[in-house]
Amino acid sequence: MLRSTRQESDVRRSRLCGLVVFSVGGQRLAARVEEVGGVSHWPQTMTVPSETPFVKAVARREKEVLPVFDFAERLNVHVQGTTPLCLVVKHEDGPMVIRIDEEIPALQMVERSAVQPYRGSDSDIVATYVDGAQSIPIYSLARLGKMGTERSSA
Amino acid sequence: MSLRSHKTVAIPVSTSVRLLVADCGNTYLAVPADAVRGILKPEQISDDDVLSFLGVSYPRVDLAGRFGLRRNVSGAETRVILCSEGNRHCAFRVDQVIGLVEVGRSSMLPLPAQFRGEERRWFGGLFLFRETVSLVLNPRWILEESRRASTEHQPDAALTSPSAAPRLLGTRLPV
Repeated sequence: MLRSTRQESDVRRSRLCGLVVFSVGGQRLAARVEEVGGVSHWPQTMTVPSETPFVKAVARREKEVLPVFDFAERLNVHVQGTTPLCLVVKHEDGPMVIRIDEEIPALQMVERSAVQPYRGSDSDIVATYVDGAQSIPIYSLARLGKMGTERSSA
Repeated sequence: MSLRSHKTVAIPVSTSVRLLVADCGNTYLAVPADAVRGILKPEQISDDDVLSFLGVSYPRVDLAGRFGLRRNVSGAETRVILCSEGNRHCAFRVDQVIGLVEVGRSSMLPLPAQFRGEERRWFGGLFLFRETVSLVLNPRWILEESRRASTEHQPDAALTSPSAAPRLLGTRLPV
């Protein structure tokens, strides 16, 4: 029996992993496309006195109030560019935003075989993949800031 | 035997809450208006750790310092807000009093779940205000802080008087 074109397409798609590649402080990072809710201009934010690490502000988008995760501080870098962008994260605790460099994020389809499990000490990284000569960490944005949690593969 | 009649009494439920909004270190903080006892200019009061006003002692709380906010120290709009609940009192300084606002309970938002620390005790929630948001201070927490701060400065019982009426002084409040 001949395999339909659609079946072949499904098989090919199942071998691929959709990643959003963005940069913070010039560092290239990736996240699973399912964990990204969108990209927009950086909105106005307001400081919220907080003892939660890296969560010290909220951003207002229309009538929505979203917590800001300071990913640059987490990485100990500074966001680059005069017009930073806002990456909306589909976090487990609700939508959250992170400030990223002005370079527009790219959607990349990566072969699952190219994704390697991460064995380092950063609990927010779930895997890495090699793009050219560079190893790019894949962050679990959905669990960002939740320490000591189980890891899921990218 | 006659049936006893029952009247249905509608109990009015407040659908909104009145809040006093102030700017403290470029952060809007709101206090439930029923906890506010007065608003004073700095020149009206002493620099003591415990303020005495109309016979009531108000221990000071350094709210900006506690929250790590950078206050505008030389601001002409600086005010001291006096708060009370029951027999607990406190005073804290803000950069500017914005005014009283009436916020529908349905417009009050909880602090996003990503905030997991002590701030959940500090703030009862937030609401959309102007182009940004205002945080609603938990008056019980501030009063508890003042109690801690005042353990070394016990108020003089002779100065404490229950007759001090709630009032807003010295500031015209735009609504």
